[in-house]
Amino acid sequence: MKKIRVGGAILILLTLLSLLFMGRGEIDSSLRSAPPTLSHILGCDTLGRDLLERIGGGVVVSLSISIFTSLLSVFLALVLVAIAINSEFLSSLLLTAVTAFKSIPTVLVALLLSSLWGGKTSSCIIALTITGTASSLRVLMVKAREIYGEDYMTALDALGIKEGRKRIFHLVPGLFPYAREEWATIMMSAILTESSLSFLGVGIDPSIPSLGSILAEGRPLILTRPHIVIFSSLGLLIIGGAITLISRGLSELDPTSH
Amino acid sequence: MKKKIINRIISFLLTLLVVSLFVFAAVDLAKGDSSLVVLSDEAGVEEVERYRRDSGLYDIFLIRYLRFLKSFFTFSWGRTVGGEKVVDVILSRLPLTLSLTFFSIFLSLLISLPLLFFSLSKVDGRRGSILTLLSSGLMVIPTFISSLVLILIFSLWLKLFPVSGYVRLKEGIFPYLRSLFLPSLSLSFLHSAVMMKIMREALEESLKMNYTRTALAKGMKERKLVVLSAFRPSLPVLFSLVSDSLSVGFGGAAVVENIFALPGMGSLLVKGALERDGNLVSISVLIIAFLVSLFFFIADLGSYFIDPRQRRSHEEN
Repeated sequence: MKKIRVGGAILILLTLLSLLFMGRGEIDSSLRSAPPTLSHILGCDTLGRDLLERIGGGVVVSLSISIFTSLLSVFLALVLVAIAINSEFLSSLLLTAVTAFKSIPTVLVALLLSSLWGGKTSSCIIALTITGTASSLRVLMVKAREIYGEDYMTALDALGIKEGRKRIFHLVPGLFPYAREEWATIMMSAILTESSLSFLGVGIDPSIPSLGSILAEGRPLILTRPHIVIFSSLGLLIIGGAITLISRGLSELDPTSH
Repeated sequence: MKKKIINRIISFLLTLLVVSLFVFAAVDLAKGDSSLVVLSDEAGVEEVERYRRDSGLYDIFLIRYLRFLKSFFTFSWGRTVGGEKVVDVILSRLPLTLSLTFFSIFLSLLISLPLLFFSLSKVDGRRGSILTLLSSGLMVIPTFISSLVLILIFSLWLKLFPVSGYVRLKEGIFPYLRSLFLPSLSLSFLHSAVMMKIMREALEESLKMNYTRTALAKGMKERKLVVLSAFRPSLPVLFSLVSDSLSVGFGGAAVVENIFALPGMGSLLVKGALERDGNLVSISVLIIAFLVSLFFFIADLGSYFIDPRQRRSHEEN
């Protein structure tokens, strides 16, 4: 529990700070890649925009994309599990699809979609959601089968509870402990994948600040003006560390793992 | 036993089917009606109709899918945006990515297995928590950051390895390995983090088993115990971790090849995505997905043959 609180506190503090400092980033060409000073605490980027404002925006964008895609993936996986749990055909179909998607790396799904459709931000979000859903579906399906065979499910039948009600109000809540662990795992991989894609220039649209693309901008200057790379990697590492803490805390919470 | 292997072959073929269907569906949805682009504005209704019929736009989904598969398996992959033959481009770039992925998995085994052994060779909490800290630390660092740090340390300061570029195997094995070392090392960090985390859980699981206690009671040394009664039963887990790493490795190769300027599949895919070369990217993705599912299949079969428990469980049924 302590780990979740610490991780959550770090994330909330980072988000609040980012929301406070993020801005449009006025271009001042006299300050191109200027090192940190008192008026620009983190220095300026290659175009002369305040790096603090850019990184604030990047943190907000990267976090919101990973939170959105991970929540959506877990939600979709829960819906699919609840629909397919009773049918042997549907659940084996889903598991085959899951295995298939495991063999296409997320980065490649995103590259495929963006090469075909062009929309970078949307391809990135769709790719993250597809692979996130696939990876959580496998775990949740196994657990759902276990829960579905429990005695209290039979008891619900005996009480005359309707099938749909049983699945929504009894099966899905039983899956929540596993779903939130999956959520943390997917969010971690979403952060890493999104920043890698943005670093390559095929993730979030370049006009929107993202930690990966800020880092890519600073990369050629890594020897002379390292502050751009250092501060944007620090942002990513702090987010990653906080999510890891939350994820470890969540897995310790799980009463069945002891 | 036969039935189980046949089941695995069927599920492998099904995987290939789903993967190719997904790639084709994406391509097909994006393609749309090319008559608006190809034909001039003056084309009459009849000409548009004829064009659509000739280029197969009226065929049902299944026919179009089969045609796609046929052209894929007969290697008629068309040309890239730049006018080169897709077959030649892919064949010239695939070996590098394959050697990069395998070398990185080899390195990650080299990193994680000794550390795992070290952490378990003494039953004491501190070594375990050091390992957990290390693995969660490595898991947080994105590949592009670790690559940049490695370049700074090993190429620019110590000048031990080249900053970028690729030396072919023909020009000597040592320069070849030297040019691949840093990219593979940065890829292997993520793999070894995952291996350490999952393998440790599996090893601890088997150390809790009754047979471990029996072996301990009979006086087996702790080190021997870890190897014999913990590593052996956890080998199937390692097999599936290695095949998972292959899949992740192909994705990570896209990042690493770009940073180290290596002419492999990953940098080809990124270039193709930026140039919106849908044909090239979809074929490359399909090839990589087929390769990865082949490795999954091999790992699955391998774990079946080395793990007597899996064979037995079938005989009982």
